[in-house]
Amino acid sequence: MSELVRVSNLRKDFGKITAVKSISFKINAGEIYGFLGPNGAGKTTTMRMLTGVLVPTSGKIEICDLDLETHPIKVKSQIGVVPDEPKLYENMTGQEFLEFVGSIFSMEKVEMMHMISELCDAFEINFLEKFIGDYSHGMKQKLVLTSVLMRKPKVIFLDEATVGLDAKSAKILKMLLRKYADEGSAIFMTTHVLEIAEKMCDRIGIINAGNIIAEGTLTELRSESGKQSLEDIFLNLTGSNEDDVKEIIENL
Amino acid sequence: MNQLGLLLKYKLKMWSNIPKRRGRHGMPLFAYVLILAGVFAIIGIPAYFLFVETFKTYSTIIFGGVSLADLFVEISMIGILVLVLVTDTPAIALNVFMSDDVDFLLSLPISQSTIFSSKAIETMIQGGFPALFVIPVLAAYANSVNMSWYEIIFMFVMYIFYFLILTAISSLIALGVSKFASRSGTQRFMILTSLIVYVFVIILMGMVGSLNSNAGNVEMAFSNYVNTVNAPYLPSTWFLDALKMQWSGILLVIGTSIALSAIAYLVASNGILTGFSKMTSASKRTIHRKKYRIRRPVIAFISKDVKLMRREPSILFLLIYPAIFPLILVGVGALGKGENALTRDIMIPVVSVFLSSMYTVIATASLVSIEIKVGDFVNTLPIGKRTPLWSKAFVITSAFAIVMIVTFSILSAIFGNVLFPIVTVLFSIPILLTLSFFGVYATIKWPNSIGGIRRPLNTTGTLVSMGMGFLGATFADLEGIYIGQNQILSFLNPVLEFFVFFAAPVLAEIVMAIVTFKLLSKIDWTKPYDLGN
Repeated sequence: MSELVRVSNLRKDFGKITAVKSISFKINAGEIYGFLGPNGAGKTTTMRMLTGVLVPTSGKIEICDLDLETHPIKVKSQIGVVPDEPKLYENMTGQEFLEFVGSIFSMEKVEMMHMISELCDAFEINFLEKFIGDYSHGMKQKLVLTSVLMRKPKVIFLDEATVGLDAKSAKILKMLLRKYADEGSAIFMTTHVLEIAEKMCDRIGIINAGNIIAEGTLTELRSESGKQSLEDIFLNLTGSNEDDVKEIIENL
Repeated sequence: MNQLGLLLKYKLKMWSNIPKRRGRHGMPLFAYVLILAGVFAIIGIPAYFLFVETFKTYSTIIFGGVSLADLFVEISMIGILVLVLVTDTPAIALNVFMSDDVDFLLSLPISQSTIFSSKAIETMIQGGFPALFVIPVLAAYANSVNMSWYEIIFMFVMYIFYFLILTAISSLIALGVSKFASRSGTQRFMILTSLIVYVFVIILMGMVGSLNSNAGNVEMAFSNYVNTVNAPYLPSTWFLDALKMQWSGILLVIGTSIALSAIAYLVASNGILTGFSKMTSASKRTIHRKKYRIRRPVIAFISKDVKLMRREPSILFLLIYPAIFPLILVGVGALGKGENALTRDIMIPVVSVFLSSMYTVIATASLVSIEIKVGDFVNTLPIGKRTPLWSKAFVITSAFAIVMIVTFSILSAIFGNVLFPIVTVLFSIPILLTLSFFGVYATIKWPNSIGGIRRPLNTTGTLVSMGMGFLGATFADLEGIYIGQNQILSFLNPVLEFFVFFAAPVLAEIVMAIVTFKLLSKIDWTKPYDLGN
C-alpha cells in the first residue's frame, strides 16, 4: 500500500510557545486517518502545516512522494482542504467560486460540470446563483466540500467538516469520503465527534500538548488502553478519566 | 452600567485588542485619540483662520436676506448630510445585520433596540470622524458674526441635534433597506445612492458655474442657487435658522431629531432584527443551470479580482472620482474655453492623474483586504505566492488607466485635444503599477484594525499612501507636460527643461519602484496576521 502522506519530526514554534513538538506519522492510500485531540492540542496547526499554509519550524512533509517545502505548487494541486470555518469571497456567487477553483486546478470542463451536478444533487445545493455573502454556515460548508470533492484530490484534509451540515448531508459526506478512500485517496480528518472517528477512521492519531500520544487502529488502541469506547480511550489518554469528569460535574 | 453602555464598552475593548492579537504591542487608546486630535488640529486650525477671513468678507454680502457666509455654512451642512447618508447608511445595515456577533447578542437577554442602538453608534463612531471637520467652519462663522460664548455653545448643541437627525435618517434607511434588500442589494443601493449624490453635487456646482458663464443671467442663476441651498425642507436650512435664534428652526432641529430617533428606536424594537430582515433570511430556491467556463489559472485569478473589484462599492467609488472630478470641473465652467483652454488641457489630466495615483494605493489595499479576509484559502491553491499580488496590481492599474482613457476620450471629443491627456495616461501607468504594489505593502504594514475592506489602512498608512500617490502623480504629470507642451518655462534652456521635467521624474519613478519592491520582499503578504493555533 503506497504512503500518500509522510510526516517526520514536524515541529512548529510561535515565538517561545511550541504548538507542535516533533510529530511523525504516515497515511496510506485508501485510508481515513482521524486526528483527535483536545482544544489547543495542535490539530489545526498541524493541518495548516500539512496544507502549506504554515511553514514548519523543522521537520519534513511529503505528500504523494513530493516534498512540500520544495514542491509546494505540485503538492497543492494534489490536495483538497476543507477548513473548520469556511471563509470565502462574499461578493462571488457559488457558481463563480466553483468555476474559479476549477480553473485554478485546470479541470476538464465536462468532468467538472458532471461532478458539480452530482454533488449538488447529493448535498441538495440549489443556491449557487446567490452571492456567498448571503449563505449560512452550512451552505458555505457544502460549497467548500463541492469545490474539493469535485476534483477528486489524492489527499483530502478536513477540519471538523461535518459541523454545520444537516444530518443527511453529514451522512452523505461520510459515505463519500469512504468511497473516495476506497478509490485510493487518503483522508486526513480532525473531529471532536468521537463517534464519527470511531465509525469512519481506519487509523487514529491522538495529539495532546503538541505530541502524538497514541496512534493505531481502533482495535490497537483498545488493546493498548484496555478501554472499549473511543471516548474512554481518549479521555484516559488526555488525562481526564471518567472519575475526573464526574467530580467536575458534582462540584458544579 | 446599562446594557447599551456595556455593549459599547466591550466593543471598544475589542477594537483596542485587535493590534495585540496581531502580535503588535498596539497603541493605548489615548494615543489614538491624541493622534486623531493632532490630525484634526493640523487641518482644523489653519482651516479656521482661513474661514474666519473669508466669512468676515462673505457675511457682508447679502442676497435675498441670506449672506454668503450663511450660504457657505448651509453648503457645509449639506455636505455632511451627503457624507453621512452615503457612507453610514449601508455601513449600518451591514454592521447591524451581518456582523459576526449579532447572532450571539440576539441570544442574550438584551432588547433588539439596544443591540440596534449599539450597532448604530459603533458605525457612527467609525464613520463620524469627518463630521468633526465642520467644527472649524462653524467656529469661524461664529467669530465672523460675533457670537457670544453662550450662542457658540448653543450652536454646537444644535450641531449635535443636527447630527442626530442624520443618524436617525441613516438608521431608518438602513432598516428599510434591510427589510427589502439582500446583502448584495444593499451594496447596489449604496452605489445608487452615491450616484444620486454625485448628480446632485454636479447640479449644485453647475449652478455655480452658470454664474460666470453669462453675466446677463447672473442674478437669476444666483437666485436659483440660493433657493436650492436654502430650501425650507432641508435640515441645513433649519440649522441656520436655529443659529439665528429663530424659534421655527430651533423647534424643527430638536423636534425632528427626537421624533426620527424615536421612530428608529421603535422600528428597531419591533422585531426588525429577527422578524423580517431579508438580509438574514434564507435565500430563495433557485435552479442551477449555468454553463461553466475554464480559464488558465492566472486569467481565472484576474477574472475573480475584476469581479470582486466591480462588486465592492468602496473600490468603485475610488474609480469614479478620477472620472467625475474633471467632468465636474468642466461642468462648472471652471476650465473654460478660449483663453482658458491651455489651463483646461493641463488641469484635467493633472487632476485626474493626481486622484488616480492617490486612490490606486487605497483601492489595491481594499482588494488585498478582501483576500486577507478569506484567510488560508488562497494559500492552499496551487499557484505562486506572487500570483494574487500581480493580479491585483494589474486589475487596479488597468481599471484606473481605463477610467482615465475613457474620461479623456470623452473630453477630447468635446474639446478636440488628445495629445497631452493620452501622453499623461501612458506615463502614469508605470507609476500606477508601482503605487498598486505599494498598496499591497501598506495593507500589511499599516492595517486598519476596525476599518475592514472599506477603510483598509490606518491613519499613518493613509497619510503615507497619499504622500506616495502625490509624489507619483507629480512625476507622471511632469513627464506628460514635458511631452505634451512645446515649451513649459520660457526661462529654462532645453537641456535643463529635459532634466527637470523628464529625466529627473523618470529616475525618481525608477527609485520609487525599486524601494517599493524592496519593501514588498520583506513581508509575507499571504499571512499578515498569522498567529497560528
